[in-house]
Order: sequence, then structure tokens, then C-alpha cells
Amino acid sequence: MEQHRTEFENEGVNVVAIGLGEPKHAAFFGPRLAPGVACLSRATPEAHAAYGIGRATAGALVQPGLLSAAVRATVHGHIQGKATGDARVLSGTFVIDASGAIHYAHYARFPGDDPQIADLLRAAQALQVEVNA
Amino acid sequence: MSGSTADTPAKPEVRGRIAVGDAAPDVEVLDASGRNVSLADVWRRGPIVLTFLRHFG
Repeated sequence: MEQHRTEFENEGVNVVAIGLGEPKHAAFFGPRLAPGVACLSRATPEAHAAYGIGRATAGALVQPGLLSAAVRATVHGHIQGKATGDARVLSGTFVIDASGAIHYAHYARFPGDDPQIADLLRAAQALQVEVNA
Repeated sequence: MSGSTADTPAKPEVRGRIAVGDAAPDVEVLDASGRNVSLADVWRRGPIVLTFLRHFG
């Protein structure tokens, strides 16, 4: 997401990340992994749960896509160390307008199942169209 | 730096998935300085891409 942050900002949309961990983890990892992204945290997964994001099943942890996602992350220099929180919690991505309405929702089926950036950008661009209409 | 959030309390109940057109749940999280942040206060400043990470590290 960090690599595409400016594309979203050009559409008037800021990128905000919530990680499972403590503020000290956000303060440490945020500037290193995503220096332009507002990095928030919560030590327990209540925020994830409020958005319907659950934990990976055992089957989801052996998806072929997980291996390719791990390779992709490694190629981009992200080496997995000891993680905070709950490594089985999945990820999710949402585009939310200034009134709090959801314009895009992606739920990861397995770790590393990230949304397509093009889909996210289309949702961000559609917001701009609505604002300018 | 790494760390594990030990003493994990009971897992919260996962609500139903939200969909396009739904209202985003407002939840409290912490910023990197440890201050409480309401997500509604964040999106009121302008639209956001909100991504929930699996973990830090």
C-alpha cells in the first residue's frame, strides 16, 4: 500500500493502517515499512472483529496463494520476524468516505490475500466523481 | 524490535461482514503516541483507505 500511497493521495484519499499491537510497535514499524501511512494500533482484535475480520482457518494457512504472497513480500524486502498480536488474524481493506459510508470492502481469504490496487484506486476515484458531481 | 502481546484476553466476537453502502463501524484505536483515536474522527477529515494489518513485524 505504501508504494501506491501517493496515487490515493492524488485522489484526496489518505491511507490509514491498523495493526494488532501496541503503540510502540506502530511507532517502530510504521516509519520503516510505511513512512507515509498513518499507523494506528490496538493490542486486541476488537477493531478487526467490528469490521467482520476473523481468524484464518487451518486450511487458509496452507493456500498456494500464501506462498506466492510470501515470495512477493520477500522480493520487496519484507522479511518476517517475530510478529505481534495474533498471526492467524486475517486482513481487510475498506474505502470509507467522509460520512463513514463504505465504498469498497475486501476480506482476505488467507494471509497475503491483498486487494487489487486497481480496484482500490477505482473506488477512490469514484469518490472524487461523487464529490465533484 | 519485536514483541508479542501476551496475556491475550478472550477473542472478541467477530461481527458480520460489512458491505458497500454500509456504515463503517466507529472504533477506538491508539495512535503511535498512545493517544485514543476514534476512526470516525479520522474519516471526517476526509475519505480514507483503511487497511487492517494482521500484525506488526
